[in-house]
Amino acid sequence: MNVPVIGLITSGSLSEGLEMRLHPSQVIEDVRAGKFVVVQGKQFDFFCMITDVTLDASSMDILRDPPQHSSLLQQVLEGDHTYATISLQPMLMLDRNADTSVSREDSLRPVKSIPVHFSQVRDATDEDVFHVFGEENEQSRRFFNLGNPLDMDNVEVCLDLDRFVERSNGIFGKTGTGKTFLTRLVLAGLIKNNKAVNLIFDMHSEYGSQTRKESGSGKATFVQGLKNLFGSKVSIFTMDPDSAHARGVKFDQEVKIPLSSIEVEDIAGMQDELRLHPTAVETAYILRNRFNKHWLSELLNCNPADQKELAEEIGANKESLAALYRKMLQIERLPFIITKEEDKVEGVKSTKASIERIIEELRAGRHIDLEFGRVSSMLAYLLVANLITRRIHERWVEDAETYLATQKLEDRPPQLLITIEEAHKFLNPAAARQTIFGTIARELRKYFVSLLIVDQRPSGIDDDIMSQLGTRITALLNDEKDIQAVFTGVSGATALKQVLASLDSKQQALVLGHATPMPVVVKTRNYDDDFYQAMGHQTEEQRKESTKKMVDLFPED
Amino acid sequence: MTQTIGEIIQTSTREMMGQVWRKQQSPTFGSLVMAKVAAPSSKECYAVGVVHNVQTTGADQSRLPAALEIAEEEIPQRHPQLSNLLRSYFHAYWIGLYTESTANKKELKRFQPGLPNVPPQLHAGITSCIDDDIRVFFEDANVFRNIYDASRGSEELLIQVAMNVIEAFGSRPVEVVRIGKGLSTLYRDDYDTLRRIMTRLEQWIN
Repeated sequence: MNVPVIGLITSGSLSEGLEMRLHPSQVIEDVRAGKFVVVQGKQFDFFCMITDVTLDASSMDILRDPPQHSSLLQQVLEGDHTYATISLQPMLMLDRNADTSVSREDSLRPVKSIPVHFSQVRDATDEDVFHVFGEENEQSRRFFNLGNPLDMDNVEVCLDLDRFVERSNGIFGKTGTGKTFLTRLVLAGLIKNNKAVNLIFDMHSEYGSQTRKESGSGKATFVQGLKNLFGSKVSIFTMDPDSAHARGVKFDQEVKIPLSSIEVEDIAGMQDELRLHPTAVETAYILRNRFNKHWLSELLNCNPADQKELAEEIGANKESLAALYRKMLQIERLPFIITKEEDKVEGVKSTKASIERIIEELRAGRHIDLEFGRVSSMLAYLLVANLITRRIHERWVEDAETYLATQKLEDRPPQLLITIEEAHKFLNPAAARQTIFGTIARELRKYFVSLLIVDQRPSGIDDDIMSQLGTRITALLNDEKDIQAVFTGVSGATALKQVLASLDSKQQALVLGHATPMPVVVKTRNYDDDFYQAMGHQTEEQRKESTKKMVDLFPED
Repeated sequence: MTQTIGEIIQTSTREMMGQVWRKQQSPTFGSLVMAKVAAPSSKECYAVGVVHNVQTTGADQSRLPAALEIAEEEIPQRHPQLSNLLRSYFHAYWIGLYTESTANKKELKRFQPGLPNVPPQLHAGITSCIDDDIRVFFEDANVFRNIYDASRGSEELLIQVAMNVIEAFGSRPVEVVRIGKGLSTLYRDDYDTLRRIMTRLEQWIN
């Protein structure tokens, strides 16, 4: 194919990237950071991303005494004496003479060399993009179209879902950049292609059911949730049935948490949120040793006047006990918590079944969206997410060990992906060592559980966790610390930082890591009727039409 | 091909001196002229030169013309013999070879910048180049490099040639910029001169 040359390589190094002199016929303003280009070396094609654009002049004199606007001199200088230098970051190299029998993935190699002087650079073609990112395919269901590369509206960039679920992943972006849409898009891809079972801790109730779309013109329209798209494949559980009723959301189960199921470890992970002193946590352990699983209800039932007695009885510090009591009252007040008395009234089975049912549904391969409705305080979210995930993790570890022992495919637990929002609250350096999420992020896929971290302040997340993330999908970030954090553990990050900072504030994201062969800026696909159809969703008319066809095919008589 | 305007009276591989025939107009400074050189029979080959000096003197070089001390309009009436006593000469630098050949009934014109390895003979006829020819010579604006080298960087000569070439291309803006770019390669290290030349050309165009 004859693709116009956009420039020539003039210098470069493996560590610093390549410099391209823009061809005089090209317009500088058409060259955008994040664009995908191909350098045609002697033996290899180098797939590169544009990371920076610099204005240059052949002589400093020109800059000291610039030509007048649109004068002949300016036109004469343009492109030859005043020109643009484009910085390219080579990401992959492909042997042009490679054996055609070699698979797509094997033919792509990490960059270990650079192209010769004056190698020609051209825009990437559709074939290049397919070659690097793969194509959606009904049979393998491995790739999921995430959107288009910059300036290439007819080509799809695909996410390798098999690789995506192998590790924990992150979706980042400052508020209003479309994190929720990106997350919903990725989750829809995973559900559609049956790549993992999803548990979504849906803080703002925006994944499962229909939700409002922020549109540029100030109009608000509604978009379909995962339940609308996938029907019975997705169950909606709620912490706040009143809110669900008010919004007209049909949920599958209400989740209640009995006090007796709260363990000290669940509280310990929330030290920051509860402003809990370490001695108060120690007191909680002492209480647990004395009262076992009823430690919390015993503490809360204890009259403040009797606290001194209780402290003496169990050998704890009185002030610490009082402090713990005050903090635990906050938990007791959460609407979904049922105390010991209520527990008896409602029956242990019905309440405990909530968490148990979540686990069973997940093991059966159904996806769960756990809505928080109006109980979306950080305390409630942290408590529930911690508590449920700890139970799930325990069960998955058991199942994984059974599978290791039997090595039978039917014993293999399904791959589980847990989506958490405001992840820096769970995974900040202090919490990451105590909460279950830190453990999951670190131990990777060993137990078939991974995380999808959604956050607007990646700098708040522990470095150890960030460096373990497989794939990062990042919308616009402005804060230097956040940008720095996103690239923790990524080589060649300096050049990519510039790309990230220059993203549009809507519908653009930088995807890098395990699930794409090279970092790429994507204009994410629209979450609209076309997308719903691609996900197999039918409109009311289509449903009626297909029912009619069925009736015609198999008449009742 | 235009009429012969004069003939070569001094020749070398670098430059030539021509004398204008009495009934002809002398070529202008910066204009392009050509003279035939020996070539295979199937081809017509011409050395192309840029006129860098035009002068008129008395026919008798040993005597200096004296002032007539009359009004200029009266000269033809009062001294009609004067035109026979004056001689116009011009000097041109060779800048390339122009060949015209016929193959398959098609006329091929080709210009090769550089110096002729054999100069045109003495008394060879000299013709002025027409716009069609000039457009062929300056398809590649790097020819200005040959003029620059031959004239040792004469700014005036380059500007005048550029003006002639721009005219030959009908002053089309694209061509003006292309010719400007050709000139600009000569002054990579001398922005001030380039700026001066471009300003002169722009003023002339406007």
